Amino acid sequence: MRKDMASSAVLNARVRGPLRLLLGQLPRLLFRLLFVFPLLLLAYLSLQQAWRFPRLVSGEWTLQHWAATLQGHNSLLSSMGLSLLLSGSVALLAATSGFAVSGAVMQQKRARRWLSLAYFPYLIAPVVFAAMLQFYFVRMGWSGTLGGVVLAQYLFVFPYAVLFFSGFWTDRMRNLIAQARTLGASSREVWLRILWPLGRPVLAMGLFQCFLLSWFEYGLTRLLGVGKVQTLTIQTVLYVQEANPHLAAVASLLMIVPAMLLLLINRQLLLRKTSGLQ
Amino acid sequence: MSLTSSKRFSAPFLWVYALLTVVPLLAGWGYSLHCSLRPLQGISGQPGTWQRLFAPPSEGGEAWQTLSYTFGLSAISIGMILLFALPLSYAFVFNQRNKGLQGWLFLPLTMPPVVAAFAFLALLSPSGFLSRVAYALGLSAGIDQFPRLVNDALSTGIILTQVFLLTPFFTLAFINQAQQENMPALRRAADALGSRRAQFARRIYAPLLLRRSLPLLLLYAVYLFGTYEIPLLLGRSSPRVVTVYITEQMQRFDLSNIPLGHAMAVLYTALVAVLLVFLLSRRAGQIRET
Repeated sequence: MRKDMASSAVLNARVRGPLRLLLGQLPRLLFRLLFVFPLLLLAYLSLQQAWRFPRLVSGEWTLQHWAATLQGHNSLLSSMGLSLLLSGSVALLAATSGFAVSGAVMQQKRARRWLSLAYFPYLIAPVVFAAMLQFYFVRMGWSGTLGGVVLAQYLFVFPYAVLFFSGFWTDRMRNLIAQARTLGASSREVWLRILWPLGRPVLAMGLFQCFLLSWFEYGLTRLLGVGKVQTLTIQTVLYVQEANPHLAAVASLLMIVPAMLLLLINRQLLLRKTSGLQ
Repeated sequence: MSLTSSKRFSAPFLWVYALLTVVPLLAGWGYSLHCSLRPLQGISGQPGTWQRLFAPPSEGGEAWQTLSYTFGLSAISIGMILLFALPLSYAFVFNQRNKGLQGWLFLPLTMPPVVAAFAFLALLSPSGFLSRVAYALGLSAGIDQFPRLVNDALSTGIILTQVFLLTPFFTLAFINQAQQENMPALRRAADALGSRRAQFARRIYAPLLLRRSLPLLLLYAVYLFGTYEIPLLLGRSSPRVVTVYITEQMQRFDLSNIPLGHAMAVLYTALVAVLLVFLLSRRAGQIRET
């Protein structure tokens, strides 16, 4: 009798073990699924021939949307090139000028007050900013041109860059530069021997952040690009409005991939920066 | 000794800075103000733009409706984000087993709002994934029977997408803040004084983090107040958020509506500026106190 009870307890424990493990892991699995599911849905839509209601899984897998994109049969590849050019230019301009300007701002006596100026254009919705500036852009002939959109995006990415890099100019950095200058270093030497080596990781991080701000932008580009500057965000919305979920999904994934790569690099840079400070 | 060189060297940078931050904003705001105040050419007997904007809804005025809708949407989104982000951050701070999951929080940060809106459209629309699951389970008889979750009166799709996009960011911010406040040590002290875990979470953890993160919360409330892409794809034509209202008025064929868009842009910019001045003065006060 006792033997039977013992064996049934062992059996119960064996059955309960995996169940408990599953129940214990369930919230974690759901947590992962919650964040990855929208991406999986996009990937699924990009690989489907058609997704007719009420079928949950159609089973008609195809690479035709990706093949058409890569072979240039639709405008997604050129849009991606344009987006890369646009965001790359905006990021490069905003990060380099933002770094230099933040240095000048942070050496002022009322640095915080100066810095607060940057919050205003940055926090106004870009699309409203664009709506207010549209008249000037049309007057100058910049509306509907790549240069015009670069300039307009620069106007709201630059204040962000200044705010971002203001954290670099700490008391420690100030003391270091003052020490170098006391020891006879010229401005050029300070920039080349101190600011560039120490600021490089921060500059790279700021560059990526500025790139992403421009890469994600839609409203301003739509309003000032007047449909002539067809970035990936513009294309995605066009495909959504045309009820073409498959190409919209391809465009969406093309937009996410660089952002993910940049995020991975960014995190590494973040870790490197933290260990450097330690 | 200055940072890199003389004040003379930094003066041009400051000019460039002022030119790029203040001038475009003031120029744009000034033009919009001018457009909202000038009388409509060729249209006689019409009330002024501001009167039209603030007219009662029965007479076509949309200002109150648009502003209250946008404000309500931002407030509900922020409230729901806090509802999820605070417990999540608590689970990450006090349970070491959850550390491995923290990386997953970065995934939504890689999604542009346009992409997130499209993904939620594919998920929540009447012919979307959830509707198909409901049909397969026998909970819905078809597209028409599935409740509207996008372009709906309650703005469910907009709120869910904003919560999905911003909850991870706030969770990460709260984790960071909790580490700065040394929350584990505070909990040990609370335990030693006989407090229950729920009491600690309700009376110490949440209030302290909310107080410390108030500027960030207000900044994101401003951000949500100006959100555009998500309401554009997942919202209804009426009521609309401020940004969608402005762009629609400015792009209409009826030219008499353009000043309405400009007037709303003036109002929106002024509201954001006032909130920012309040925030920055509060922050300056905090810095002086410390």
